[in-house]
Amino acid sequence: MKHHKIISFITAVIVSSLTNGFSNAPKSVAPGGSTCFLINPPNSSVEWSFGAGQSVQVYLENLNILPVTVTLVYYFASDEYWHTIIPSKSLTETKTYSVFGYTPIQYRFSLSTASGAAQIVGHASW
Amino acid sequence: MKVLNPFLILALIFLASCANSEKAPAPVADGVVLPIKPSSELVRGYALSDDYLDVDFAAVEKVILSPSSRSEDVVEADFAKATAAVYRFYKHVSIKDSMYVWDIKNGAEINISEDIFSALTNSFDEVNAAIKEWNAKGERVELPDITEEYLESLLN
Repeated sequence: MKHHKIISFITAVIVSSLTNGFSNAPKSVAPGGSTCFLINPPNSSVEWSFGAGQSVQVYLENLNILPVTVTLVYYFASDEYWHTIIPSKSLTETKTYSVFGYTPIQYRFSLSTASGAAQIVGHASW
Repeated sequence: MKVLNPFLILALIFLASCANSEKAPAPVADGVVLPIKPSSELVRGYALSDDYLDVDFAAVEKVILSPSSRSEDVVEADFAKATAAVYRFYKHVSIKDSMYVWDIKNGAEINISEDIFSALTNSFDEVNAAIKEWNAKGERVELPDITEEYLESLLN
């Protein structure tokens, strides 16, 4: 009986280590999206992160009737800044961010504005 | 069995509380309600007419910025008038020396109230100040042109 327990325990340890060893294997990421809201006041900046595939398309939308300034920072090996103006009730162009690696890849951005009144939406899709 | 009953009841209460905790408040972004979108007929009607446009721009903006506090005082026509005023103003906006400029001096020239004119020029002053700051730091800024396509999108 004791033998059985020891064998079961060893088997469990082996199976567990094998499973962990395979956890870094590439996984396909289903198409999806993420949305981020920046509403000032009260917040002039907001953090935005999500797990996605090797390439994501991002664009920003100004819902306000006044133009706004916006800075999107993409945090990767070196931070990448995108400063733009979004006229009233309009969208920016779409930017693509790509990372070659095992998926899901964790993308991290920050969205900020110097405009006193803003409602900006960040849209990401993959 | 009689001894176990109280434990069973406690376990059920615990499970019920766990189930409730799954209904924790959703992230703010999910709770955001998008502001009213006025009908294009209404916007087009105001924008292309010669009617004098006056609307409480600050009240409209307040509803856009916090849709959950939507006021009954701000109706669809107000959103339409505000968008129409924006359209009339943007028709006079262009980019010169990496700054947004406008070729009108007051609201009367495009038949909008001076309050709306001030709100729009103040916001462009704010935008220009940010552009100037970025330029001074040598940082690249994208300035979209005010195109016919964009102006048309305001009417739709």
